[in-house]
Amino acid sequence: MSGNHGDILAYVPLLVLIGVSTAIALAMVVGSFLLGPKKPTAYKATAYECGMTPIGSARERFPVKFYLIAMLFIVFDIETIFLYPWAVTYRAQGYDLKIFYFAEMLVFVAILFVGYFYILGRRALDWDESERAVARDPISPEILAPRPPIRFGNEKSGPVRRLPEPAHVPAYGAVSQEERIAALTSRRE
Amino acid sequence: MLQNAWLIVWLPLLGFFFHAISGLIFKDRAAQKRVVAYIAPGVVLAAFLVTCAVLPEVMALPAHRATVPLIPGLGTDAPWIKMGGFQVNFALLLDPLSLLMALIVTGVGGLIHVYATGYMAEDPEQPRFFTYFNLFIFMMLLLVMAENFLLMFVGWEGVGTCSYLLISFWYTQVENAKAGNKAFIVNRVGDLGFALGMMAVWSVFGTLSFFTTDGRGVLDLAAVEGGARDVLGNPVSAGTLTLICMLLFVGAMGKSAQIPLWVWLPDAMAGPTPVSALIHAATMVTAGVVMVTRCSWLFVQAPDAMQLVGWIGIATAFMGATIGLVQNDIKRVLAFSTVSQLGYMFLACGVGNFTAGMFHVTTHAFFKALLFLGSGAVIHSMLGEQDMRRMGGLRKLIPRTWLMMFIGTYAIAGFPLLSGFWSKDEILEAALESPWGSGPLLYGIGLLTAFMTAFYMNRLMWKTFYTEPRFVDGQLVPHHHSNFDAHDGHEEHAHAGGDEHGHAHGSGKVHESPPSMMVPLYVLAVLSVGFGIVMAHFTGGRFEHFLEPSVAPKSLYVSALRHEEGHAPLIPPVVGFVISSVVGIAGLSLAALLYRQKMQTGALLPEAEKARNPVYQFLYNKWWWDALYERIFLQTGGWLADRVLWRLVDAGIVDGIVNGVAGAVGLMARIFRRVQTGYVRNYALVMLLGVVILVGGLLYQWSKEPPLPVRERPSAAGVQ
Amino acid sequence: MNYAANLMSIMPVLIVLATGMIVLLGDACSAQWRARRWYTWGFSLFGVLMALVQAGNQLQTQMATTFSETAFAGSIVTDSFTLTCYVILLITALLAILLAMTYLENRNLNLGEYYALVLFSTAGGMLMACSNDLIVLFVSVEILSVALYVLSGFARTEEKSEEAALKYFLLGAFASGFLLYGIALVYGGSATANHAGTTNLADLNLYLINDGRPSVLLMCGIALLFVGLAFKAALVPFHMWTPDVYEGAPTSVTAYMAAGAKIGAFAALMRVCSALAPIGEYWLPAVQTLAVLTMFGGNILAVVQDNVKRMLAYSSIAHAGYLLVAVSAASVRNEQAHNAAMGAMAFYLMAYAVMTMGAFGVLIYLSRKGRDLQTIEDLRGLARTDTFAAYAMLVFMLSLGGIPPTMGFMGKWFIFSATLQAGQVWLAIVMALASIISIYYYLKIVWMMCFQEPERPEVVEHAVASGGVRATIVLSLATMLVFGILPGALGILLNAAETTVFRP
Repeated sequence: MSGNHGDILAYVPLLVLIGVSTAIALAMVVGSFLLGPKKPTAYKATAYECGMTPIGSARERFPVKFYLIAMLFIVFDIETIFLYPWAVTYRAQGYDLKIFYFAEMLVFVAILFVGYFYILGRRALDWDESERAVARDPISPEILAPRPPIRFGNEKSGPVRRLPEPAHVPAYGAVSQEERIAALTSRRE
Repeated sequence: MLQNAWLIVWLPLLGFFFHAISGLIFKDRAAQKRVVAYIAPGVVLAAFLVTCAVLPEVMALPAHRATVPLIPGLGTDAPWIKMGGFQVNFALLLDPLSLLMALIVTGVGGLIHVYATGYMAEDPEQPRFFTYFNLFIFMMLLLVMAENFLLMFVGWEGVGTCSYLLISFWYTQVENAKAGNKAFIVNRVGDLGFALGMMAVWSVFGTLSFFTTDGRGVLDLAAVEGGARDVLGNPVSAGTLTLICMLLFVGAMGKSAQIPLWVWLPDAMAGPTPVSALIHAATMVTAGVVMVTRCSWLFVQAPDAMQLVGWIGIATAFMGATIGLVQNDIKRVLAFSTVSQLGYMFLACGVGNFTAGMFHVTTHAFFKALLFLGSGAVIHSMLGEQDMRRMGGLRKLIPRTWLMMFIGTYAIAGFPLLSGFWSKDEILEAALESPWGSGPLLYGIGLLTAFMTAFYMNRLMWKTFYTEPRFVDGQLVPHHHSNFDAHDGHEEHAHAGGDEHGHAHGSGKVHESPPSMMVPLYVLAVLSVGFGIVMAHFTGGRFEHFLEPSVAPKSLYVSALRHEEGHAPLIPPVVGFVISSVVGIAGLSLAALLYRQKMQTGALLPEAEKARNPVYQFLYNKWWWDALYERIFLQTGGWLADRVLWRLVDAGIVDGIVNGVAGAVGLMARIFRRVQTGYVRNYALVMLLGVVILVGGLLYQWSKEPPLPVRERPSAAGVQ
Repeated sequence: MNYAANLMSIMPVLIVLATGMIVLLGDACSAQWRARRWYTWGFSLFGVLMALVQAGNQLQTQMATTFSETAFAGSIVTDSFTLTCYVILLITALLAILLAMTYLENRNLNLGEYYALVLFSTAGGMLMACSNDLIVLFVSVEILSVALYVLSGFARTEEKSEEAALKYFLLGAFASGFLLYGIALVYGGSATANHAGTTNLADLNLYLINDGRPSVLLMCGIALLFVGLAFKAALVPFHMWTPDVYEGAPTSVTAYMAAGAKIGAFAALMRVCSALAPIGEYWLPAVQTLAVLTMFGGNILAVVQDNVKRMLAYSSIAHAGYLLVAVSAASVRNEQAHNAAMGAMAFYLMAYAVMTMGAFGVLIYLSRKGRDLQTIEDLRGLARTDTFAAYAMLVFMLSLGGIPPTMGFMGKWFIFSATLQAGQVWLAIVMALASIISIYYYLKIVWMMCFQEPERPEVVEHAVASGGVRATIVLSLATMLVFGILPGALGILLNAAETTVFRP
């Protein structure tokens, strides 16, 4: 380290980035606070927890498709991050190498697309359960069907326990979400 | 053709496979037997033809030696086992010795196969017989043509197995099964010697191959000018070589029925007669001689081992002949004569004349096969009778068989100009010229043995063919012989020592054997008569020159022991010829003279006399060898096994340790399995403990270990 | 080296990966499961065979030229050891695919992903065998592992299978952390005043040869590297997951996991240990201790198991111990012993793969509709009811126990003699003692099959006795016996060490 001013100046863009991102985040929160219509209902007033019911038994069942999509999003999101280092080195290469680099990235993207087409083909992105079930092959109902309980556990581990839901709580999907919440919260009292 | 030499070995193997599965192919037993009877001799004779085709090609090579792959398509260095410096290849060695043996095995073997198609025709289990028989030919060929000791050992064990299977071929008779066991167990002792010898060879020479192209084979190294060299190029001490040779000779003792491991061979006659002819006379029992000859380069440099071979040989020859004098079972007489003749062969090896030994192996294969097959024809004609006391007068009834036996007898007895005469004479001369001294003694015993041989062989002829028939009017006399009692109740499985034909013929008429049995006899008779004189006399020692590349030259040892110059033979060859002839003829004549006076009974001593005569009892009971072994190994060993090994060592110490250890293991297991809780957190904890201990251990080691010296930087090419 | 040559050097891996992707796509995009069934199964078999041919070709060239090449800037090395491991792994994958189809259908698991995942993890294992850089090693370990995590939870409607997957995943992630940390420490610990550190094994080897005493950092790094790999190889005390996962996973997955993961792990371990051989004095005692613990731990715990799959899991731990003995023998500064040990390990890996696949194959063969064969008691009197399965199992048990004339015996013998050559006599003795224990539980199965009367004497038709399973068993049997009697025919494997990169 020579103590040169140029070295410190190199960090100025970082500072700018931090400043700008903070500003944008603040602007979004403040902007929505200022601009958004304010018509609160009881349901809207509950804390927002990524779509989950905020109050109730933590062992509640819920559709996995939300997580599925979130996970798929993260996978593809992270894979696109590889584009950035690639882009940086790509710029530094000569012409002939650029073709090679480009081809390499094409291969990478192609592999990415294999995954994409796979999830398309498996209908992992279809939201509607019934649609998916019909489209599946005829073997799938069997796969999805419940199985008789099997003897389970190792030398010491007992069976995995699953707490039963209280009898008075209606099944998922049978009633509206509000009624379920009401039933669950009433149990707590 | 040379590259196709693998066919020699493979043909019998394919035959074996075919017979083994023939039961699945043919639903009809008769059809199966018919096809098997063509295939079995066919493959062996085809192998004989291939051998004949290969022979001139090998002899045309400058070294008279070729190594060819055993598995077609692979090279001669196709490894069977390769581990570090230890490599054993799948390859065959073709040289005069191996080809000679291959010719005998496939030629004589083929004839005996043909014979067996007649002999075994009535046996319901004939396919099984030929399965074993072809397997035996394969194993024997592997033994004689192997390129290295280990492959030879495979053949060695293989023929032992086949011998066991065939001796107890009629396994429903407990005596046969016992005889098979006896052969197998006695041979184990010898095989152990061979195996130890093989290991010693490897540790000294670093290889098991006999010859290699780069001159690093065992025999290459042994044949180095100025004495054998080990794998590092240092001279091998005579003591080491003696040890190796003695161990190898122990193996030969077992397989070739020499004192003290000879006891199995007479009992081995329990098998069908073709088996006795092929395995226990012509081929397998000569394997020891072949092996000693193969290792002649090692033996000639170990004089002590050579002397042992010679003395064991002559002692066995003498003992076998004396016991042969008093036996009554026609096959047993021949068995003892085999023991005796094998002794001659070892005598030849022991005095350094390996060629003479091999010559005797060859001629013996002819006339002994002839004799056995002839005796088989006699037994066949007599409907399974083997006891000579109940024969007699057969010359009129089966004249052609008589002629064959006559030729065989005169050949083995050393009647002048027949095959046996030439080979035996050569051995006796070599014994007289023994480089280790005491030649005259060896010669004397050898002559005495030859005399006895001639005597007991002619005794056999007289008892069987010339004396008054001891059965009535062409019909067998009903008697109490136990072998005949068995087959009434059990039509299928009544196979006693020789009654296999008993149920085949309705009438008990003595009859000549079918052509399939007689033709091989004619061929063998011609060879028994002519082979010796052609090879030894007319072609001027052709045989000796033929084998020269395969045996150690005399110069290797004779120069060290005797002055070559000015050494004249003790007796001129012509005198030797005359002495041998006289001895042979005298033995034959004496038997004829004595038995001529006992035409009625065919026995020199009355039965009551025999029981009282101690000499007779001594000989009849085989010098009490079996009793001795029983006393030493069975009674003492049994006591040792029962009282010491079982009750004390096994039940007390070993079981205690085993149960203790097992208990400890079980206890530990029950403790350790508690760790396996099924909870991931516990697993992770154990892992973490492992990490801590591993890191700690490495750091402890690091603190303990002194700094390594900075080494020289290797060249960049060495490390990438 | 140009790009094409770079790619050529890992061609078998690429073929396997491409096959995996095509299978995945085709499986997802075709609607008819009957067509898919043959398509996924057949195409993955085809791909593995192609890769096998390619690897064989490369191996042949390699043997002819004895030229070991590095690719991708020295991070991949293709020598005969690599290629031998390719071959062994591909054979394992082949058997795993052959085994799978009817078994999966029987358990309603016939999803094309199985084949794709097997192929991906095979590719991971192959990359482990060829990695010459710790980073590549790490990535390939992850490729292998992630696929295996999913596979072990493949029976997703069964809690046992889910539990297995989760346990495996959690502990695997734990171990991966150690591995990565170890790599970082090695990188830091191999830095000198003039040079940055390295993760390249060849450079590391050179560094260790030149600099006498390793730093504390490097020692810690090495220890953690061992932890990461020991987890994959299931060495005591990093083996805890093994029985639970092997038991819970579908049997065809267990078979593949037992063989494939171990081959990859030991190939990598062998590479790392060869690179670290110059400072063997420092870490060899630890490896030998691990070997002793693993051999005794696995064998002793196997004795008390009633569940066949758990017993085989413990036995696989014990076999890892024997293989570690070979690693130890290969890490001495004695070229002959090193070569012998490399060859012995290659042979033993082959033997282990085949006999494990065979033994699990018999279990699959015997499993009934919807239910796996579980306890040793289930094998009672098998010799009466199903002679084929019983005698096949007998041979596999004898082979696992190391009794001639099987490959297991020859393999043990090779390791034994290599260990003696390396001068580690005590280790050889310990190995012999440990394998004595193993005879007990292998013969227990034999005893149950052959000397016990069956509960029901009639012959049972087994649901999964398909051609593929039979073929696997017969292939394994034939390999087991042929190479057990004629080990020289596998001479290629035994010579695998002749062109390996590092000289200790």
